[in-house]
Amino acid sequence: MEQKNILMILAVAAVLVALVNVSITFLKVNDFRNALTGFASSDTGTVNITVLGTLDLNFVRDTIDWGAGVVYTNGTEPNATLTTRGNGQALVVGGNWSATNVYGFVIANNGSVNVTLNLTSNKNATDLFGVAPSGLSQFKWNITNKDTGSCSGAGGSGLNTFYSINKTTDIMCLQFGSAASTNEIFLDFLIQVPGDYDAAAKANVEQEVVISANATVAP
Amino acid sequence: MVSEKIIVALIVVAILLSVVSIAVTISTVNTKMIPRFSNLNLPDEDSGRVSLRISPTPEGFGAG
Repeated sequence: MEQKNILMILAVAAVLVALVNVSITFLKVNDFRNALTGFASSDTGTVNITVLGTLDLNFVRDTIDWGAGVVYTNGTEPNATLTTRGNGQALVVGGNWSATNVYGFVIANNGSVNVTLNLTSNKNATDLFGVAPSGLSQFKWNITNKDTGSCSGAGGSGLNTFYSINKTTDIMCLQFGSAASTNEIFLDFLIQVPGDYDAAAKANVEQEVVISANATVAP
Repeated sequence: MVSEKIIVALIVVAILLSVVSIAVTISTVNTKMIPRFSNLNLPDEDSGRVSLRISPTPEGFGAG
């Protein structure tokens, strides 16, 4: 190949690489400008930043597994009631589910600011047991303080009381503390299994409920 | 008069410098200058699971 042809190829390559270089530089600088807040159109400016802190909501104990059991049907109103009680042994009445090693959820605010705690369940009592003619099915939850003063200003629900669970989001603590000694609560459940549950659809089927907690910075 | 070999060498150097420039631009802008806001995924969320299984029982079965 002639020397002039080689020169021409190199020159074209140099121009192409230079064009790519300019394009990339232009695009990256634009990204850089869009990513920053506080870009000032004048030659001076002030950026004020408030650091709100960190949010870290955590289910310290996140599983309640009752396993398999039956409802005793020899009573006048046959139903079984399964209740968790924080760190205490769970309670089973009217059925033979095992309460061994069954405890309430523990939810902790491990962030650096007080948060508002919202809870949502993906199922209610009807989803769990079907429509029981006796109307004895229940699925309820209850917030109690594990650390005194952790939860205050409960929205629709007070502390230490079981409330029926629907599938809407409930504000459980308007102020859920972040201090090390006041940042943990129990979330307990009361499940009443009716003797006339929808056995055709529900018998021997693992029923699982997902409880989702959501924390936003408290007002 | 400048020889063609020198011109070729200069063009090659220009191409290499341009490639280095691209590499520096990409690495600098990507890794150092654009802030990363990975901690701004508000709000925070977590979940737990409650489960049980209901076994069928004969009529009148119970603890007495």
